[in-house]
Amino acid sequence: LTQSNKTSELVVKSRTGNLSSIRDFISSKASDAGLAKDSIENIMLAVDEACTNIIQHGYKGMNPGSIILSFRIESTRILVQITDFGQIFEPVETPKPDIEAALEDREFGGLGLFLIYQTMDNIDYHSSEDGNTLTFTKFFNSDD
Amino acid sequence: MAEFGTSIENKGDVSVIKLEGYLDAHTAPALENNFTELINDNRFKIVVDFRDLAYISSAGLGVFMAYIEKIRNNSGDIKLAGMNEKVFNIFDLLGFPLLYEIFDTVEEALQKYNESKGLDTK
Repeated sequence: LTQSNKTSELVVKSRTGNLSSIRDFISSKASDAGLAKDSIENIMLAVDEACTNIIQHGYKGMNPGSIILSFRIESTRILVQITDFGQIFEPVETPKPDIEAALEDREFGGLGLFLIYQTMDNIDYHSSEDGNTLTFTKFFNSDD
Repeated sequence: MAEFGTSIENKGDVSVIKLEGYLDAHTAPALENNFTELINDNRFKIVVDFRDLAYISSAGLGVFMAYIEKIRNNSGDIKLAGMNEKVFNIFDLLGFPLLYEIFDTVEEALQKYNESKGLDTK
């Protein structure tokens, strides 16, 4: 690892057309950090899912607002913070979907969240007057 | 930037939807249109070719959920084929192999339809 405690930021409008820019940003920064390909793909997916939720639910009924991505490399881990100014969305209160449920019993809103839980090592959510911030942690030495 | 594309090829009574690129919440509507068109044309036997799909998020997986009941109610199916390992892993995490037939190749998926047809006529 050549860099430590380095933070990069990307600010985009909450439009689905920006998801590819969001993934490119994460992929580029995670590659710079020396993460393995599987870990890079997992962070990209988790951030995509979180931003999709913000765009489709957080800012629902509002004009497209800002999504601020911050990517921070520390000695043992990567921290990705996603800040928005839409409606509060508390991920820890959303139940995980029963992936073995019969077809007709499934609800699909929770799939993205389920993927986030499967791929990230830690998830933290904080909401205040200054916005909603979701923080993902991925350790360098974790298997996935 | 052409980040996602689809094309449809009919092979007898089976339609093959070929996917290319990145399937996410932004590009999923293009695939929804494909399914809507096929259903409107009464073409319910569908194979989805994933060989050139680089990426999928849950919004992409949701498309397959949205149409499967209608298609199966019309004696059809959506069979999936040719996924790379990463894409398969996401389907697998979400339990899709219990709900969909997933094949290594498009040819195997087509073969499965042909075998079923043979059984129907007996």
